[in-house]
Amino acid sequence: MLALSLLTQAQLNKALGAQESDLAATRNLALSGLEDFRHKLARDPDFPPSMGEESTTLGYSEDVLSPSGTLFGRYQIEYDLERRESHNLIVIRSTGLVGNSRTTLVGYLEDSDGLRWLAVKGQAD
Amino acid sequence: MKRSSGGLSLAETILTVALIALVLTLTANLILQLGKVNRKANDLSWKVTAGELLNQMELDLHGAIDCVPGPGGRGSDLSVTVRDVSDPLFTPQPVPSGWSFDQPEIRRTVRYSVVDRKLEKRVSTATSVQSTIFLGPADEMEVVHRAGGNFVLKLRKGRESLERELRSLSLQSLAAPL
Repeated sequence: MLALSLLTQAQLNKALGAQESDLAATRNLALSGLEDFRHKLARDPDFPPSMGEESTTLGYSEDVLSPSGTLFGRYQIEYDLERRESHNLIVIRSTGLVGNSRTTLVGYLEDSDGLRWLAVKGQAD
Repeated sequence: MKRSSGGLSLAETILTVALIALVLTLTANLILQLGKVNRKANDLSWKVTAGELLNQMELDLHGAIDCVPGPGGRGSDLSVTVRDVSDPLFTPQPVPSGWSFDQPEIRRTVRYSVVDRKLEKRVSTATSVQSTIFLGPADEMEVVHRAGGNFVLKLRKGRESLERELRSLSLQSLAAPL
C-alpha cells in the first residue's frame, strides 16, 4: 500500500509535467505559425496565393524539426481573406501539433503598413 | 509447581504486543502517506487550474494594444487594453468613412487581480464594467514587464506557484513593424 501511494504520487507528477510541457510546445508552435504567416506576407509579394471567388479560405502546414533533425511537431495554418479587401483584415487560424496534443490560436492581422496583430484569441478544438 | 493452563506465556505476550505495534506503525505510516498524496493531488490540481489562468492572461497579452505595468515595471495586477473582435464595430458593413481598427468604441480593458484569495477578471469599456468573473483560487499574483519587452507572470497559492515568461505578439508587432 505504501509503495502504491508513492507510485501514485510519482505518476501524478509525471503526467502533469508531460501535459504542461506538450501544451506549452503546441501553444508556442501555434504562435510560430502566426508569425511565420506575417513574415511570409511581408516578404513575398505573391503570398498568400490567390484563389477563386468561390473560396476565401486556404491553408498550409509546416513541419518543425528539433536541432537533431527529428520531427518535433507541426503547425497548420488556415487563413481567411473574406475581409481583406473591405477592411484590410486577414484572419489566421494556427494549430500547433505535438503528438496527440494540439492548441489552436486565431490571429487578426491588419494587412497594411507594419502588419499589426490586432487580436489573438484561443480556440477550443 | 503447577503450570497455569489458561492465558499466554510471557514470550507469547511479548510477541503479540510486538505484532500489534508493527501493524499500528504500518497503518499510521499508510495514513500519513495517503494524506501526503491527497495534498499533492490538490496542489497539482491547482497547478492545472493556474496554467489555464495564465493561458487566459497570455492570450490577452498577445492581442494587447497596451498594458499596465509598462516596460520596466512590475505589480500585483495586470491591466491589458484589447480590441473586442466580436463587436459589430470591429468590421462594420458597410465600412463608414473614417473607420479604423483604432476606434475607441471597440476597445476593452481587461484587468486581472487577486481579490479575496481568488483571481478576478474584470472587463470594462471606457464607460462601464461589462463583466466581473472569478477565475480560480490564488493567494498572490506578480507581473513583471521587463524593459526588453518580455512579461513574467507568476501565480501563487500556499507553497505552490506557477510562473510563465512570454513576449506579446501584438506589442512586438507594434515595436517591430514589417
